[in-house]
Amino acid sequence: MTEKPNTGLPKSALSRLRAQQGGGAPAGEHPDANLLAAFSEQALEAGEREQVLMHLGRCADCREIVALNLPAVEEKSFVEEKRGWLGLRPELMRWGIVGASAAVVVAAVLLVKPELESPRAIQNQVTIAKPTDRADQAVGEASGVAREAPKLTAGVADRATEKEAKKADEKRRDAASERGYPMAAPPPPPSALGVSGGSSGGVLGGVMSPKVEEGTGRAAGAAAANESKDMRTTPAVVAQSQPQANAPVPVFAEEDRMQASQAKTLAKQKVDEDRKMMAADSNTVAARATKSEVSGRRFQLAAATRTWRIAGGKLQWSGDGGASWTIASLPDGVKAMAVDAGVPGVVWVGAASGMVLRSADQGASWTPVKGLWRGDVVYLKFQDAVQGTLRTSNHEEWFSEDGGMVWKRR
Amino acid sequence: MVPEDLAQELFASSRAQEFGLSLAGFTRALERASKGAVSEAAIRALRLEELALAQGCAAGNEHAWDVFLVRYREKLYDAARQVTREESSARELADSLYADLFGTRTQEGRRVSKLESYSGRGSLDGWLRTVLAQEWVNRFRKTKRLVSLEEQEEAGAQFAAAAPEVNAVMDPAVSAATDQALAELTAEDRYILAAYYLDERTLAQVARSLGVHESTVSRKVERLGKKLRKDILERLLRAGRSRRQAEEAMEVDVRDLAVDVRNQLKKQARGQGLPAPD
Repeated sequence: MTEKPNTGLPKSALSRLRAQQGGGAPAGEHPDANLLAAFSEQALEAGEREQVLMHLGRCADCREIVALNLPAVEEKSFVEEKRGWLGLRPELMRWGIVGASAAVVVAAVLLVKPELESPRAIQNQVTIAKPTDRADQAVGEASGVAREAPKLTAGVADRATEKEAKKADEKRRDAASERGYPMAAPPPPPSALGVSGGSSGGVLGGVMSPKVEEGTGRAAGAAAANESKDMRTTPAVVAQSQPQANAPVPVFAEEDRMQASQAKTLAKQKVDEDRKMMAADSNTVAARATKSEVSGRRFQLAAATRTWRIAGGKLQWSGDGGASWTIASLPDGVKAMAVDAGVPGVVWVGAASGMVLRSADQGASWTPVKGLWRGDVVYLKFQDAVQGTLRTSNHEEWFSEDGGMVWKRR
Repeated sequence: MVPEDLAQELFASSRAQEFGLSLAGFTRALERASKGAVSEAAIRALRLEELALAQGCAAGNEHAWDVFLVRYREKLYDAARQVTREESSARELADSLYADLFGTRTQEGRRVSKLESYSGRGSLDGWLRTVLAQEWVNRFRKTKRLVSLEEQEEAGAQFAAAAPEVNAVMDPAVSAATDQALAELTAEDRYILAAYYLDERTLAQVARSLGVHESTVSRKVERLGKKLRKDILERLLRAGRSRRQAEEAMEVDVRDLAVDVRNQLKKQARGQGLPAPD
């Protein structure tokens, strides 16, 4: 083990303290197990406690016994150190971040260069994928029905007989009609969404904040939907970045035609609403975004101006450059001690007892980040989106080179 | 001497009878446990049910052993794993303690169980963990010595003369000033310094062992460092040292001195064409 930084204790004192251990000064008889156990449980009277402490100050063996007798807390954190947000393994998280990054890059390309494509192409890209939301798609997949459909659609039906296909189709219709949703085209395979690494991104999308999920929603594909089963939204129009030729053609069953027609009307209304919003927005980026993306982006722009601070032991934010401050809500029992919002859209909070929280939605929700560090997290700073530094009251310094997923001790 | 009526009351409330103890036996156990504590409150503060259970087990009561195994068997193995951090050693350690608890040695024809020595001052659970830790520390020291010998033999160095101690001595004035400053610390302060700086425990571990918050220990460590520095400096100034001399002397570690002496010896040896000492 490396020696701890000498914070103020003179070296001569350390030397003499070391020299006085054991033989240097009479430590007396070792306290028996009853006394040491009672000491650890704070069950000794003041006089006895003083005697035991006097012995412990000079006896390394008994200090070792007291330390071994402490209830296990650190083993847990050792296990947790190898996990990322929400307890996912770092390997998964790495692939997740790669997928999400790819999705973000593709989204950025699409958003920044919309003028490269003709207005007609844009119009064609806005297709009705399904009058239900992704969550319902996920429910269908979870029941094993939707998994069959893409296979058939993609022509990978060599193992599936025609009977099975019909059965699957019926099941899918039943599942949809039970929810009162009209039947739509089977969900396209992830590759049809035009984004590679979609499923990985989906996993990350599922664990990150809703805003991130919205941003990568199209890229996330079915996996993201699977993660967000519980999220119910109103039927929405999903804009997909794929050529019209590959767009799924809605296949409606007879009994679903009426409902589908209604849904189509509703979807058209939504498209119109979105187009109005897009027109209002000077940024052509919005031409490709769903309504939720647009509103999410606006929220981000508004929230990005927030300034954060810790005052009076409370985490506070200001949306007006510091003129007024609002106390941010943190999980119960979290005592914030450090805050960093240097990276746009991400707020990090260091707290007492080693707690670190991360928010990707300007403090609306917090995700705990766990590590092996000890003590209160008194300093937390990200130089950029990947490089961060963390210091604790225990004189430990940790750094991250991957946006705070894996932390190493310096 | 435990008053008879108190002993009777506690006997009834501690399930001692259920564990096969007589009133006289229970009273003896109370007297042993209280070790001259005369106050009723001190006797009442004992973990009486756990004491009765331990005494029942020590006396070989089957029901007591059943209860003990249900309550503590898994805990004991868990504690052993926590202490040894390795499964096979943990099992061996726990089994060895079980043998001691059951009583493998006899005295005057009577089986002696380690549970007899449990006094009820702390919880039986905590006592078992402490006994395990004591046993482990003892074993570790023995094993360390054995391994050390084996390693020496393998290296062919079993007959090597002991390495000469480098005679690095701290400035007597600094040593005296430091000792006086350390002597003025309370027992708890000294324990905190030893645990934190010598044993390299974390603030959290030290805090947990004292039952205080980590930030309390953090503040104490900082305050103690400043206090010691100030005390030693003042004593050295009174002894006629200049401030600079005193500050420099305080920051000398004897281990640094040892390294310097060793380096000096090497230099001298090289200068005389002799083999340099290790």
